Amino acid sequence: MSDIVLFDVAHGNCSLVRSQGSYSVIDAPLGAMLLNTLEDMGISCVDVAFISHADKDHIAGIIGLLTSTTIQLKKLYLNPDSQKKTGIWRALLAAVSVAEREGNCEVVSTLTTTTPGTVTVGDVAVHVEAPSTSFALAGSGGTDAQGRHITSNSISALLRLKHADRPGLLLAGDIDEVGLDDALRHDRDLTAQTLVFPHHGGLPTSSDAGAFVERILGAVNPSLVIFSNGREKHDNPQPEIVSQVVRIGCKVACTQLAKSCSKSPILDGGHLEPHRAHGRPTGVSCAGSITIDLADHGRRPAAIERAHQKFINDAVETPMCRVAPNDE
Amino acid sequence: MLGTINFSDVEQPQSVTIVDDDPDDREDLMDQLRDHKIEPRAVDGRYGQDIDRLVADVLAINSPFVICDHRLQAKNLASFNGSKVIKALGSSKHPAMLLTMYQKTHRLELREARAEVPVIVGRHDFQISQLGVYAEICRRELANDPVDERRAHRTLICIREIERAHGTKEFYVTVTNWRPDEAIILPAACIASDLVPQLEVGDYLLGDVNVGAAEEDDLFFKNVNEIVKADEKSGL
Ligand SMILES: [Zn+2]
Repeated sequence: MSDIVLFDVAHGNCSLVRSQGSYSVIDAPLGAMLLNTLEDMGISCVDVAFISHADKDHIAGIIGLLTSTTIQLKKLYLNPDSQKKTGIWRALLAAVSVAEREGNCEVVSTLTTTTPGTVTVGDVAVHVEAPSTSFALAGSGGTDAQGRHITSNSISALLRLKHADRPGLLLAGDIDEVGLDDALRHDRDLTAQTLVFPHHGGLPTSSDAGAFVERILGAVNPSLVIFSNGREKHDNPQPEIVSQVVRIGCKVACTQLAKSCSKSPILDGGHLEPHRAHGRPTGVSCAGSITIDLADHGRRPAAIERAHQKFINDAVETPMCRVAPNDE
Repeated sequence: MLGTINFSDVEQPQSVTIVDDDPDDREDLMDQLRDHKIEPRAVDGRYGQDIDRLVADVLAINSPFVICDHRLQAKNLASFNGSKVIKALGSSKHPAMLLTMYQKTHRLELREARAEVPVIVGRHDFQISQLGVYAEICRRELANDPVDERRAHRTLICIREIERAHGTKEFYVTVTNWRPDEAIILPAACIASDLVPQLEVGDYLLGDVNVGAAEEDDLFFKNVNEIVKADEKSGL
């Protein structure tokens, strides 16, 4: 078995790769969901974790993993972010020193296309497609080759997961057009069956939303686009983004039910996967936590996909993902 | 959020033992239970400091669930607090919840006791219809399978401010994996005593906290016994 579970964590990202008894965690926000889930799955050791970039909704849960006494983390990759003076970044540094003191976690403060380049988790290869070393060295607060401002989001790691050379899934963190251009300028292969869309489907800061969607979907060429969104925060994914994704012909799955899709919560329609999902108790999960089968070309298991589509058809009033491809 | 458990399936207890020193409050609660076809039973007596006798009486009544008032002194039922009764019943694996109107005024005292009191509900928020859920939360805890909100994880606790008042110290802290931007008071009694004199603003403590707690008053702290000094943080 080789799969990845993209958890419904409300606003934020958190995923777990499982392959041949090896485990990897990529990002995690606040709360106990990740640790409770790992404990219940009987996972006492995570081989490797990645922090895509230094924002709270991506790192807070990794801090919990570093300090956990029930789950051992063997190795952590992240890029330093000199701009970060936030409390959560200070807490990460404290957690790293706890891990160093215990001596059981190797912390690697580089996550670029060359170092480590590729990390294997069981049968799954995790390829780092961005940032490039030079871009990461310019760092947040710096500027890129075109003089554009590099932010924490720009240096988000792009992680592409492959199983037996099948282009499975691309995790895009909160990458923006500046970071994406770094990958494209270096001719990185970003193709993947499934794309976890950057920044929870929020609007890019400096470019036109439509152009950004076209650029990233053109490079990735996915059949499924996933938004890891929180209903109660930031109103993601943004309608301009979803409509463009649908127009290009991709299927869409959101972890939570956006307010634009349904004014009221919808209590569990029975379609949710058996994993914890933040929105389940309050009826705000749409797909909830999503499993992608990496051994089956990076797709959702068919029965789960059908049940989710039926839920959208039967229960969701104005689903953004149902815009007809040629509608304007 | 209560994890993967489906609380719509839980059954209400058939009978409940009430420990409450105030006859009016006790009668009121017994009426509510009768209205919901739950048999109320009450302990009545004066126990002074004899908690063992009170616990023995509660166990002898043998209802599947106990509701205990926090302040038992006013009408002289006992000289100890209800949280002590819950702890003692817990050691006998008997599920019990605390009902109180002192949730805010006795906040820190309850925080110290919270690790061993699975359910505390204010009188104002108490709902008989939730009784099965309260009982199930207690039952799961005694079976070492606590609900998500009650599961402890090792977490960083950041010292934000230290206030000295009346010869004691009060620690304003944030719990990194709960809400890193909401300061709460951590009673010094929850911290290993040898660490208390060393603590300075900016230091971190490590402790076992139920970081899935919904509200501040649901948090508990155990084994707060390691320190990361502000100046030993990693230099990433
Ligand atoms: Zn984010």
